[in-house]
Amino acid sequence: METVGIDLDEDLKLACVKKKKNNYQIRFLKSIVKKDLLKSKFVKQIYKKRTCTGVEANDFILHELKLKAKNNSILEKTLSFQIKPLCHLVNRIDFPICQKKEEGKSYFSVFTTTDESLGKHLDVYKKISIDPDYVSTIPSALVRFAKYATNTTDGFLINVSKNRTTLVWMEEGKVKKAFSCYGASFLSKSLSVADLSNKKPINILKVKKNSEFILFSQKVGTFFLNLPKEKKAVILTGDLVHFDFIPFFKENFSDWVQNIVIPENSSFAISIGLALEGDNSDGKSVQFRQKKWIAKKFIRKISVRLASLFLFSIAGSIFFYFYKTQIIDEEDKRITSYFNSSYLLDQKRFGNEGKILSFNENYSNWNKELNSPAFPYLFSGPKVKDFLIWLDATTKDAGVKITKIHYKLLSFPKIGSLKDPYKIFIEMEYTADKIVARNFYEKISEDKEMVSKNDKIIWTPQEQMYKLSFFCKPTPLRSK
Amino acid sequence: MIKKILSEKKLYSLTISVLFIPIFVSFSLIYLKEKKLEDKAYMIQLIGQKAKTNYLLRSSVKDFLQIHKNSDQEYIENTLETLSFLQDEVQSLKPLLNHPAFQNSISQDRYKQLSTQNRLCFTEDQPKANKTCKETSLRQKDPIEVDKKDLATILQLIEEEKEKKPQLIIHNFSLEKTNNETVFLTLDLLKRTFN
Repeated sequence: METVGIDLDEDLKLACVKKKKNNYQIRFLKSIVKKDLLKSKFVKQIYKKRTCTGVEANDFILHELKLKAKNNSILEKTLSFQIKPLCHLVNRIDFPICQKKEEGKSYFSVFTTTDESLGKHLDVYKKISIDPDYVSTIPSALVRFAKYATNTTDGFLINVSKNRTTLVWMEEGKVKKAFSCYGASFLSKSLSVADLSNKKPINILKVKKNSEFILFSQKVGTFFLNLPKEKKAVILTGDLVHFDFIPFFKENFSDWVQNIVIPENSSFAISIGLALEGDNSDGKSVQFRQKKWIAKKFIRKISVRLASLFLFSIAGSIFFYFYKTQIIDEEDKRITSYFNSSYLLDQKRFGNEGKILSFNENYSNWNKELNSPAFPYLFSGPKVKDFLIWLDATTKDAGVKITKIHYKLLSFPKIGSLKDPYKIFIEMEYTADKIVARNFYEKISEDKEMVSKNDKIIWTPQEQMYKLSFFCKPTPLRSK
Repeated sequence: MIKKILSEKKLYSLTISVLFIPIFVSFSLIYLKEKKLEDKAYMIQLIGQKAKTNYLLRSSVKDFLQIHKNSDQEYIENTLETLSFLQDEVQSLKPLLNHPAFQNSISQDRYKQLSTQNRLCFTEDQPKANKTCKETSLRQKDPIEVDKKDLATILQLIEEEKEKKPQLIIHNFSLEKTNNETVFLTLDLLKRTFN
């Protein structure tokens, strides 16, 4: 994806970069003068690209935080708790960036701005119809540019534009301290026509030192004087076509300046840096557009995607629903038809004329018929004849002599008590030797054909005679 | 609303919900329909099994009523009470009746008893009736002496299912062995006739 860094100073500077493999390619650099901004069609050009702008150094506060945490979830909770007391600004936006993790400790840079500052920043760009996807900081952009253009991670970054001058102390590839003051537009006033036509930049030390110049020097001096006196490389960028700032910094800030480098495309340093920030390939870019400040374009994109996903999901679900419903309905028809034909056949068998009503009606009628109480007059016990045949087979070779048999229907359905079950009770008396008699009793106890196991089998040995009584099992209906 | 939830985790959850809510609703509706169909199929299966189990019973009832309709009210009097038993013994005793050596003997008494007294004779209780049938309880007056063959005949005549015959159920049956190959039989019956 192409990212466009947008820097609005006196003029509008655009830089478009694209990441290819591990390198960044500058697609275009464009500068549009203020008076041509409304006429220019640059907004259309950058519409589909990711855009990034930056707040000035004086519009945010930077804090560093060191935290110890066992895992990321604890770290997250601790971080939000630790950030709150860092400053006392109200309605603020905090953006922490984890710079490194070492020996169980995490090092954070916390960028804090206010709703007011961010709102003002966005309003400026709104006037030229820009709603940036990312809002980072100009110092962060300069750090990105320094790393990209010169591979430097330590040093001072100075950007002199017409309306602002930004000074950054960069350490270990991150912003350590940043400051901004007014730009060098006051110097243009001292330029003559001859100077403007001169291709060689003018040494600003040779420019007439008015009060603005002195103030500018003092402001720059304020930044350096708060820093430890340690010489570092200086990367100088900005509007340097007409003016040479190198002698100014070398002479006045020699305690800090080791050497000064002006890299290629330095006039687009901020916009290139912002484009690199917007790319955020290392996840260490500042992004103040969080929560209520999220770009409408982003919300629109998300909404469109969610809506598309939702519509796709609905369409898929509806299609699937109707497809499955069709299969279910066909199966329903099939089983209903099977039920109807079974019902009619059953009714015909018993001489009834079955009518096809609704499934529920037919089902209910048929169920009622099938659940009607059992016909009580059908005898469900073993008949005397069957009992005697069984007894004959059981006593054969048993060595017992049956002397008495009593078969009695202890309970049976009769008019007045049709629900009484058929219960047949047998009492027998027989003679045999002791062991034979016992064996016969055990044989009867183990019988599965005639003897009911749900009732007691009583065996009473008496003198030379044995009494045995039990209930008979009901006989199941048999087809003819 | 989207602004409030635009943290990565919440956005991810929203995406999952948006994607899965319609799918979930669709699947739920289909599941309910399938469940309804399944229940219907199960109901049909159950009633089919019930009808199968019940078929035997219903056929049996139908056949039973067919057999017992318009039954002979005098069946017991005409069939059971006319039976004579131990015919072999009776026949063997007959020649001794007029023999002078067996006048007033036990054999004569025995013959008399077997030919005249040893018969089935029932007393009837007050019948009871409802829409479907009329029930009468019958008690045998005196025990009779029978052999195996006689017993088989009696049981067949009582328990066999035959057209125009009332339903006869033995609800009390007692056999007591004698010294011979015969038994003393006592039985009580339940007679049912159907409309």
